[in-house]
Amino acid sequence: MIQESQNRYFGSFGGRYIPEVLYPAFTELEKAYETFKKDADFQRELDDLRRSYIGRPTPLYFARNLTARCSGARIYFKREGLAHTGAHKINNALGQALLAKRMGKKRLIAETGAGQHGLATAAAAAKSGLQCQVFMGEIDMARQQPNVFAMRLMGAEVSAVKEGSRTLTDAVNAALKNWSKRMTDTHYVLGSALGPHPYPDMVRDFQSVIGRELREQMLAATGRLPDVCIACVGGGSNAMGMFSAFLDDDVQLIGVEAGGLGPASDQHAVRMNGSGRPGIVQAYKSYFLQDDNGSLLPTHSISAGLDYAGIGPQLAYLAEEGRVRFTQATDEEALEALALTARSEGIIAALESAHALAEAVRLAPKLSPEAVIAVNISGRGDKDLFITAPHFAGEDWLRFLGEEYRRVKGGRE
Amino acid sequence: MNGIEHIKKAFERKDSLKIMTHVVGGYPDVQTCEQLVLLMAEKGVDLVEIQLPFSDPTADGAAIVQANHQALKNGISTHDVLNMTERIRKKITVPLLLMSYINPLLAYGPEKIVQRAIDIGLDGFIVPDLPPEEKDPPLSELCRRAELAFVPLIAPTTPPRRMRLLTADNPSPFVYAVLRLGVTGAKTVLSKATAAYLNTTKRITGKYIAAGFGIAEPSQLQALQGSADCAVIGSALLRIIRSALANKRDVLAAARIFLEHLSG
Ligand SMILES: Cc1ncc(COP(=O)(O)O)c(C=O)c1O
Repeated sequence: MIQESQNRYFGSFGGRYIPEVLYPAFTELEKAYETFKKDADFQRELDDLRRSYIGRPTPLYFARNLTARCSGARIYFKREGLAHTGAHKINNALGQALLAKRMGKKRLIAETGAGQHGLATAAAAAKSGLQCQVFMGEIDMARQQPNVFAMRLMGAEVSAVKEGSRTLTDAVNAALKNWSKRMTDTHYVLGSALGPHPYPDMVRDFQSVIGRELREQMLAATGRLPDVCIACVGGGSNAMGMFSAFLDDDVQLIGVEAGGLGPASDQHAVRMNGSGRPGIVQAYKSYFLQDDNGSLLPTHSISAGLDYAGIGPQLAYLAEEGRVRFTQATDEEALEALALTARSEGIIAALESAHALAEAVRLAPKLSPEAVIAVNISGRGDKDLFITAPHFAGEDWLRFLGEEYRRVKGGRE
Repeated sequence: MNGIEHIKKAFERKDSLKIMTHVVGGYPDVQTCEQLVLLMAEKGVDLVEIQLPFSDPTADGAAIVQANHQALKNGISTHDVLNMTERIRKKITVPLLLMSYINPLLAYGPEKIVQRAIDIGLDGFIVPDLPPEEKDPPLSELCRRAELAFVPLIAPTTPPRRMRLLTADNPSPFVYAVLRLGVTGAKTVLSKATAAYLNTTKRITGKYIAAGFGIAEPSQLQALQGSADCAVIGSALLRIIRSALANKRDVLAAARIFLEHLSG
C-alpha cells in the first residue's frame, strides 16, 4: 500500500489542477515542505509545541460502559477532542503555521466548515504572530456561532462566504481566490487531506501523529493492535491521520460519511458508496458528488465538518484498493450515538465524530469480546451547542435563549 | 478550414487590437445568449468565448460566478450550450472558443466533447484548470489531433522558462495572458510593468497575445494597443447584462450600447 503520493498521485487520484497564476505559490510550498519535513530543528519545535501547546499525546481511553452496553468488541477512544481548540485540526494548523513562518509569510488564510479548522488556524496564527483571515460559508457561520466568536476573539478576521451553497465548498473556493491575489505574503492553511498536491501529503503527515500515538498506546494498553479503526470522513484528515499508521497491518479501516437524512433523500454527503463519481474539482482529482454536467451537487449533514462534496484523494485510492471500507451514519444515528456516549462515558463528542461513534455502536455487537475497536473522537461537542441543545432540550433551550436575550438587553439599557 | 487556421486568420485580418468577448452559455437565457453572440459578431468582435456553466469556477470573480450559478439554476446543461453554439455557428463565421473548467468536460467525456466540437464548428478550448503537467484527461493532445486550439494560459507570475514549457508543442495561434493576480472582474490598472510582461510573453512564446482580466473601458483598450494583439472582455459585459435585468431594461440594447462605446 503506498504511504504517500507518487509523482503527485495516489493511483489515479490527486494531481494539481491549479490555475496558472498559483503555480509559483505551489512550487514554493512544495519545496519548503520537502525541506522542513527533514529539518530536525523544525521537527523539534513542532514536537515541543505538540506537548506544551496542543496538549499531546491525547489519551487513549477504554470506553468500558459503552462496551458493556454494546456487549461485543472492546471500544477505545482516541481523544483528539482534548487537543487544544477542541479537535484534531490543530495538529495540522500548527504544523502549517510553523512552516509558513519559516517561509517568511506574514498572513494565514483558511477555509472552515465546522469552524474547528478556522479556530485552530486562528490560534496558531495568534501564537505565531501571523495575521489570519478565515473564510466561512454564511450557513456554517450561523450554525457554528461559538467558533466564529472564538476566532474573532483570537484576532482573526472571519469573512462570510455568500456564494453557492454557502458552506464548506464555497469557503474553499473563496480561500483559493484570495490566495491567488496575495501569494507573496500569505500561506493558505488548507484544513483537510485534500486539494492540490502537496496538501494531501502534508496534511496527512501533520495528522499522522494521531495514528502513531494510538499505535503505541494500544500496544501498551492491550499488547496488540486494534482489529478495527473507525473515523468520520469529511475531507479525510482525521481519518488519514489515524489510518496512516496501520496501512500495512492486519487492521480493518472504516471511514464513516455523513448519511444526512438518509441515502434515498439526496440530502447527504455520501461520496463513496455509489453516489459520487471521479472528477476534478477544486484542483484535485477524486470522488465528488456531482450532476451529469459535472457541477457539484449540494450536500447536507447536521455536522458542518462533513458537509462537503469531495473527499481526499488518498482515501479515494484506498477505497478503490479495498483497503478502507466506507459506511455512513445519518443525522439521527449520529445524534443517538452522541447522546449514548454522553450518558455512558460522560463524553460529549463533536457531531462529526459522533458519526464514527454510530458505526462503532453498530459494529461492536457483531464482534467477539476479544476484538478491539479504536474510534477517533476527532473533536469535542462544545461548538455544537446551538444544534444539539435545540434537538435535545427543545422548549427549555428556546425559553433560555429568550430570557437570556432579555436579560442581556435589559442590562445594557 | 480547421479551428487553428480559422483563429489564425482572425488575428491576421487586421493590425489593430482585436476584441474577444465572453458569454456564459445560456445566461441570462439561451435565446438572449444566442442573440448576444450574434450581436457581438455584428459589432465587429473578432473572437467569442462561450463558457460552460459550472458550480465552482475557482478562477472567476463575482460577476462570472453569479452568471454561472444563475445559468445552472435555470437548468442549462452542457448539451444546451453546445446546441446553442451549433446554431450560432451556422449564422456567423467569427471564431468560437469553448471556455470551461475541466470537470464539465470530463463529465461529458473528453473524446466525445472534442468530436462534438469538430462537428459543430467550435475552433478551440480555453481551460483554466488543466496545466500541461496533468496529462489526464489528455484534452490538449486530443485538440491537437483535431486541429483545434487548446489555448495556453500565462500569468504575470509565470517565469520565462515556464512560458516556453506552456507553449512548446502547442499549435494554438495565441496565448491567453492573464493581466494580474486574483480572479476575473475587478478593474485592472495597466502599468509599464503590464506592457513589459506582455512584451516578454510575446517575445518568448512567439504567439499572438490575448490579454484579459479586468478590461472594461476604451482607455484600457488604448493602453493595450501595441503590447497585446487582442483584449478580452468578460465581467464588464456581464455587469451590464445584470444591471439591465435588474432595471428591467432590454439586455440586448444595453449590450449594443456597451459594444458600440467600446469600439469608439
Ligand atoms: C471534529 C471534526 N471532526 C472531523 C471533521 C472532518 O474533517 P476531516 O475529515 O478532515 O477530519 C471536522 C471538520 O471540520 C471536525 O471539526
